[in-house]
Order: sequence, then C-alpha cells, then structure tokens
Amino acid sequence: MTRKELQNLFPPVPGHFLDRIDQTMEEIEAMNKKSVKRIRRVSRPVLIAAVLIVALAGTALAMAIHSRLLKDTLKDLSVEELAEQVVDMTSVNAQDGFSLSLDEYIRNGDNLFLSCTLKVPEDGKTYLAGIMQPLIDGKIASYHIIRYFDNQSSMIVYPLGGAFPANRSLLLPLNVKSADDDLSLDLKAVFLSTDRPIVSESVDVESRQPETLYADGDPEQWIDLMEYPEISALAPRKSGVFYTGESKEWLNNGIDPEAVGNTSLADYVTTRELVIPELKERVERELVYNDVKEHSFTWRDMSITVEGIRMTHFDLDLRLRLERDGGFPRLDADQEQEWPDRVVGIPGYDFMFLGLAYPDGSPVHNYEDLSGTVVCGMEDGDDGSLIYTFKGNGIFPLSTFDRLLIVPEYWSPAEEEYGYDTRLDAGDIVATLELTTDHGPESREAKLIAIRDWKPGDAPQTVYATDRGTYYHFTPDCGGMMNSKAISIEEALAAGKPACPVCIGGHNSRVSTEDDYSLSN
Amino acid sequence: MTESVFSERVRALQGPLWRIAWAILRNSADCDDAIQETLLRAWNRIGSLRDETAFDAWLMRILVNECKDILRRRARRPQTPMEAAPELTAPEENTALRDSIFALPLSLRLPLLLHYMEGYSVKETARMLHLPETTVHWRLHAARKRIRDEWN
Repeated sequence: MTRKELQNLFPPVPGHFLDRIDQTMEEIEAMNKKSVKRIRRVSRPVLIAAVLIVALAGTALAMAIHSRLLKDTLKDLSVEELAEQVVDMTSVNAQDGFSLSLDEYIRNGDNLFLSCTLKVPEDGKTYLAGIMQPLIDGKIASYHIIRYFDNQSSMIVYPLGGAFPANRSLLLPLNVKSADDDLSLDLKAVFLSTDRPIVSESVDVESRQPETLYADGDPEQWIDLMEYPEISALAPRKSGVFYTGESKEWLNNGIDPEAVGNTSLADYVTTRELVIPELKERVERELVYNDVKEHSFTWRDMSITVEGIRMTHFDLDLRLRLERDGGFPRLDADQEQEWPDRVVGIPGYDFMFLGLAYPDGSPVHNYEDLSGTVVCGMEDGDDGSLIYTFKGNGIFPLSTFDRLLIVPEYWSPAEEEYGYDTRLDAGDIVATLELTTDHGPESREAKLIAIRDWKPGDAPQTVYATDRGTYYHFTPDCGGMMNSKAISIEEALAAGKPACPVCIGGHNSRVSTEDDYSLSN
Repeated sequence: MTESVFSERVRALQGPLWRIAWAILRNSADCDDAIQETLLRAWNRIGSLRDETAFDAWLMRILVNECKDILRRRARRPQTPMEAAPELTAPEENTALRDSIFALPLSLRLPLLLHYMEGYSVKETARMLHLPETTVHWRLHAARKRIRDEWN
C-alpha cells in the first residue's frame, strides 16, 4: 500500500480546519501587534491590581505561627545531630490575616534549608498561596529539587482556608551558591483568591463538570491555569497543590505579583515579604564517607571503576568510569538535547541512567523534602571511556544505612509513552557499595570498604521465568523467551532455577576486601 | 524565523497536521482547537527552535502533545450530546484496514502513521514522539505485527 493510499484512509482536510489555521495565523499577526485576543478562549478579565507593598522583614506580630517542621523532619530522618543545629527564627510578616513566617533554617556551605509557614485569614474563604522563588544576595536561588516549581518555572500554590487548613508549613531546600559566610534572604509569598469552588481532596471529583482541574505535581497532569478560564472547579489531588501557570517571565525578570492575578481563575490579593539580612552558616563537622581509592568491577560487558566517593549529610559526589571494548554508542543530538547530561547509551539497551538506591531499594533521590536529590552526569573520558558522575544535594541520613546500591534506572511500562527501556528491572543491581562508619568521638569519617555482587535478599526482586524453563531471568524476553511470568527471586530459587548465564551471567563483581582500602581523609 | 516563513511552513504541513490530529482525536472540533493551540504555542516558543530544518518535527511534536492534552481533558469531561460535533465521513475504501489501524493503541498508531503515512524517517518520528529510534523501530514492528495478525 502506498503512502497516498494510506492517506486516503482519512477524511480529507476539512475547510473549517484550514479556516482555523488562517484565523490563528491572523491572530498571531495581531498578537505581534500587541493586540492579543484569542478566538476560542474567553477574554481575560480586567486585572485586579491591588499590589500592596508589604512591610519588610521582622514585622513580627502577635500571630506568629512557629513551626518545627525542619527539626521534626530531621529527627524523622534519624539525623538528630543536625536537628540540634537548626536555627530558630520566628520572623513573621503578617497583616490582615495573611502571613509569611520563616521559622527555622540550617545552612552548610551552599546548602540552605528553610522552614516557613503561610497563613490566611480564617474568614471562611479559600485562598491559594505560594512562595515565590527566593532571592539570595539579590539573586534568584535555585531549589535542590523541582518541587515548588515545575520545569516550566510555574509556581505551586496551595489551597488554604475554608475547607482547608488556614496555614501550611513548607520546607525549602535551596542551593544558595553564595560566596559569603553570611547571606541575605528575600522571601516572598503571594496570596490569590478564586471564585471557583475548590474541591477538597476527599470528594470524588471525577464526574464534576464541565472540567475539573487536577494539578498534583505530575507533569502529565499539568494544566496551565492561566489558559483555562472556563474551568468551573479546582481540585488539587494527592499533595494538594496547584500551579499558577506559566510564569517563567515574571520569575526570571523579578517578582511581579500582579501577573499572577491576570487571569479569571485566580486574582491577586496580596504579598508578604521577609528580608533577612544575614543567615549564618552553622553546621558543625558532620559524618563523611570519603574514599579516593579506585575500585573496579564488571557489569554486563562493561568495566566500571569507582574513582571516588564523598558523601556528607548534605552532599554526594560519586565518580564512575565506564569502559567497554568498542566504546559506547552515543546518543544522537536530539536525544542529548532532550536529556542533557543524564543519559548513557549502553549496548543492548536503548539508553539508561544509573541511579543510586538505599539498601531497601528506595531511590536516593525520592523527591522528599530533605532526603536528597541526585543528578547524574556523563562526560567523555579518555580512550572512549565514559565518566559517570553523581552529584547530590539534600540531607542524607548517613548514619541510618551502610550500603548504597548502584542500579539502572528505567521508566515503568505505564510510562511507555516516554519510551524508556522497560527491559531493565529495578532489581537489576549494578553494584553494592558497602560503607562503614566510625562513630567514635575522634573521627567522623567513614569509608567505602567494598563493592560486591548482588545477592538474593539484598533488595526486593522480580525476575522472569517460564514454568519449564531452566533459568530465571532479569529480562522477560531474554533469548526470545515467550510467555514468561514475573515471579519473586525467592520463588525462582525455591523452584531450583539458577540465574540465566546470558542476562545475569555478566553480573559479577570483584569482591573487594576491607584491607584493600585504607581510610582516606 | 519570520512570521511569513512560519506561516508558509505551517501551510505546507496542513495535510499531515490534520491527519495526525485526526488520528489521535477523531473529532474535528477538537482537531481545530488542537491546531489553533499548537500554532499559538509554536509561535510563542519559536525562539526555542534552534534548527529551522527541524521545524516539521518540532511542530508535529507540539501538535501531538496538544492532542494528548485534549485527550486527557476529554477523559475527565465526558462529552454530552450537545458537545459532540458532527463528524466527518472517511472514505469507504479499506475500512477494515482503517479499523485495524485505529484499533491500535496510540503508542503504536502514531509511529505507524508518521512513518508510513506521512513518510517521516524513523529518526524524525523518534524526534517527534520523544522516543529513541530503537523504540520507534520496535513499535513499527509491533504495529505491523498486530495488523498482520488481525488480518490473518
């Protein structure tokens, strides 16, 4: 069948489609002449522009809400020694029932973790409130993790008041990149109102008409609020957050709260700002995993060398060198543009990331507020090798684990639209880094003592096997295997099945001994 | 890219844009909305297009994303009879093949149509769908196999 014949399976391009293209092009032309008007969309309402220039920092009023969120979270992470070093602030800017308070902070070098609280009047109304990207020494600070802004730089706001709690405490993990020991912080909160009913999380919102907004942090659920004036109800889901819509411009060009209100969905109400002239660094010496010896192991057809590991409560640096006969296939330019610095091509796999996991299999970068995010980078090494680096920021509860797993990351079959290779299994551990600590009073260093092979029981495992098959496999279609079933590793071993020499056979590591590695400072 | 060049490139693509929108949405009113939103988004972000030779793939990618957004919104907003627009009639020939194609999941249908119907290379299709080329190859294979199996 020819291409033309295939095209003939479809209705011909209708006139109204062509008309819409014409109209849109005219609209674009008009837009360029600053005469913006959408064809389909309802025109935007008049800006409600009651921009209040707010009082500066230190307007500590009687209604202070002092949250211990940071301290409590650190204790939950079993990082008591850091919890003791958290600085109490209780700096509040409150007026007319709208308040922003900075409750606590902890700072170590470039890492600054703030705990602050937003509050709205208890007048029965529901407001949307969020914290704008903070300024450190006059420059916009970046978050360790994309939690309060999505990758479009849309601010997240939370429903407060009415059926929702009137206040909400937030943890802000910032990368401050300040050269100074003392740094200044400018924190702003914006408060919005909406005439749309906000549906509480407990209500079944699926059937609401004509359109219910979900905005729960999932990019797939992301909807630009500014673009949907026809939405009749707003419904946060799960984490109870909304995005304010695309706002990169006003975030990057300074803070312009009026822009937030320029929509019929949510109108600007007010801003509260806190300026803290100096935040001091105050963290005493912390536990460090520090090892610069080279340790090599193999995984599949690759030789991997750990060239260095350094991990503190706040930072992680792990450097691997990957080598392979014949080198590595490179991603094409588009893929590299799409996933810059995060992807490595591996023969037999479309591409993959290497990730880090705690001993229970949970990822180190699990997007919790403080528990750390890790970004992987790839660069060319010598002689066709690849240098794979992990750089992490966050608070890592070092004293609570003694092993780190290097695992291939993948996207689940449910996310097949993104096309990540689903043949990798979360249990397909590349290596286990064994760590040891010295909790004695004289030393706070720890070290990497060994890299060892994966063993059953290290982490929850799913493998694949057929009823009559000899082996169990990590890949469901290894060697063209058909009708494989996902079973646990324990079931496979109980059935007497050994590991497949093809898809698991290359999964051996050279076990190192502690004697090989001396403590490095 | 100037506005006139943008307009020219868009008009040259109107057939593929329509067919891909239709292949995803199967509703002409939604297709109209999708193309409008696509063109507005594309023009607003034209500065992010580094390589003008990649315009077709870039625009098609925005269209596909917009169509998927519409699908998601539609899933949450059951259509009432009032909202349903009168649909176009497709040609009578090869209805069985058309039904087979539309029975494919979107993840297989789109690569199939972009590659075989619109003539984009695997590399271009991969670029449009945010997929690795090998995944596109696999999906083309899977789509062909499903249609062949159904016909057999």
